[in-house]
Amino acid sequence: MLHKILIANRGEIAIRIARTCRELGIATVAVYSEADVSSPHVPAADEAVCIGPAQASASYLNAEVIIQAAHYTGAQAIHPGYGFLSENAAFARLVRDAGLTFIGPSPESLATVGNKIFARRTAAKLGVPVVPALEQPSSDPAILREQVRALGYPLLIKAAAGGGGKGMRIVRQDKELVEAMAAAEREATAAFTEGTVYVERYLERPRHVEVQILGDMHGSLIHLGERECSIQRRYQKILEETPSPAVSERLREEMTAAALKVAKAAGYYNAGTVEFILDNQGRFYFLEVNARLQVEHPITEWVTRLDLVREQIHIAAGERLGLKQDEVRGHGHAFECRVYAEDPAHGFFPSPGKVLVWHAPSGLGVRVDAGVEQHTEVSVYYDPLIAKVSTWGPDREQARRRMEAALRQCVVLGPTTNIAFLLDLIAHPAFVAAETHTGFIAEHFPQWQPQSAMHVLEAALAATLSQARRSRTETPTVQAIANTPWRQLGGWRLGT
Amino acid sequence: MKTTLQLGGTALTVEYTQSGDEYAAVINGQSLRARLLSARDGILTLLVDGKPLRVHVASDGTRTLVAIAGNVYEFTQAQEKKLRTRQREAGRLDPEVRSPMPGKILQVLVTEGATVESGQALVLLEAMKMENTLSAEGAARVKKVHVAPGELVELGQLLVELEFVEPAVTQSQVN
Repeated sequence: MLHKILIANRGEIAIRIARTCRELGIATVAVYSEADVSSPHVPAADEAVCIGPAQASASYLNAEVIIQAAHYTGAQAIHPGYGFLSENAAFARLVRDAGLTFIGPSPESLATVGNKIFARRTAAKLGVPVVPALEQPSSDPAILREQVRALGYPLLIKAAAGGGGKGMRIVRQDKELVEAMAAAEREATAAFTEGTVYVERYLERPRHVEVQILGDMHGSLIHLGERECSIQRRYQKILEETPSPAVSERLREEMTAAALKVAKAAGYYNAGTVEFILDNQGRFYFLEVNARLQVEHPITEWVTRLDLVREQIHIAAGERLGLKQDEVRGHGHAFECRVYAEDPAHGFFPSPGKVLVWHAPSGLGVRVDAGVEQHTEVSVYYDPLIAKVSTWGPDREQARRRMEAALRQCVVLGPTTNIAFLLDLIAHPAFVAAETHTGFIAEHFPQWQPQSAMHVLEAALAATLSQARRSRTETPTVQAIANTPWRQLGGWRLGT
Repeated sequence: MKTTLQLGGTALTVEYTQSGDEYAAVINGQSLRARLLSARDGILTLLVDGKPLRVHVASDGTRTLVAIAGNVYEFTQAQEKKLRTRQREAGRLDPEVRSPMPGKILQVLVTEGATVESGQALVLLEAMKMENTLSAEGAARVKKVHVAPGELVELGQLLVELEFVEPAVTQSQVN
């Protein structure tokens, strides 16, 4: 068994991983950038190491310093979380070469599934359906136009090394093609240092359905059912549920079998996700493998009653899977809403800033994975995710109503957030009827504005009373509290 | 007691009298009676028509933020927004394109002296790991470009100066 794990991440996922480690009696090491000295993931661990300046490229993506930090602290294993270095085969190899355990798949599997073009070909060879695509688009605009003619518009441009919507562009007309390719390449280069893009046919009104898999190093491979993540903005998920209302028992069998086939061919172990898109005829197509713990894993934990991080750690320690496929049961229904510091009334533009007030919802069937607390700065350097609110219910409607109640309880003051938007989203008749697809937000909420008329008089009175009270009793300002030196004493830093 | 608050483009005049914990308010002509059950640590509990409301309030100097049942109301003092609001009401656009957040300039898509259409992309800004397009609010001539690709910019930094070519009309006037 492992006795000390370094968590090479920040925010809610670092806190969530540290939590399971504590339950298992495993010591943890947090790493943090200079911008994160007062972030709550630092005190969530037993030790903390500063790994560099705010820019992720110099800190959370700095493989060598992270491995050095593991050596200094005596950690035996590194959990990469999601994003950052989690799917980086070179990093996984460095970790292994340093005599440490990478909590994830092997570097070889990461390399196999990490290249989307290669993963597509592998899937196609196995007889798993894939979306028609152009794998090697020409850099010559005239040839490119000719090449994509066979696919037909609309098209979707994707980064070969990509994920999270970065480098993705929908192209509806010929004249948009060249500019969109350039933009996608730029975004891909910035995000993954690898600018290769490819083009595939864009399916209208598809659902995004993914299968959670779990495998050990002894050849056992099981699935934990599917998640539907169709509700997206800027090609990124904001609301997920399991099971998918669009997946019948028969379709589930087919999709999970396809997922396991792809994973097996890649020699995959540890936790992973095989993503599919499902068209409105019930046909599914392989998209890609996410070779890491997913952001939305809590909903699978709700319905399977498993702790995926615990499973990951056991697998990485070389243990056999603790359960067989027929022991996996889905109970009830779960939703996850991602609370982001962003402005849904203005194109979901990020809204960084200090969190003045944070109040997490709670109650039966409610789980909150938060990366912030009062006074935390939502930094411009990282993903603006504030918290994930997930709810469970015996059926979809009860889980949905629980989410409504939870979101009404959730308070973030400071940065603008998407909470009011999420509330409107889950109350929409088409969402209640489970008529979801990846263009849901564009179709139903093209010009969303908050319905601020609701309690406007009460809010105005409260603001007035609060101002009157403040001018009577001057309390210390938020800044004065946040800047106390006590928060900065815990860690120490390496190198430089 | 009388104050004027600004909520988005709307001015709200709040006038109230207090007797004990009972408040009688008139807000833009609409009356509201409320009992203040408790007020501490930025949480007020109001009783309105027998219904309790939990209200979170925070202020960061320029804004007073109020959260009720999943909605957030952002109030500013009336004087501060006056100028900008008046400009908007008069249908004038801001000729100064400023960075809405700190980030890195990826591309400058226009040159000085060029004419741009309403909605045309001016600058690509990478911020919070996403590529964001900043566009012209109306048809204009590019008067001056203040930034270059690769440059790191601060919140509110001047990026591009425009000269609107015709009496521009804001979105809110069209709607």
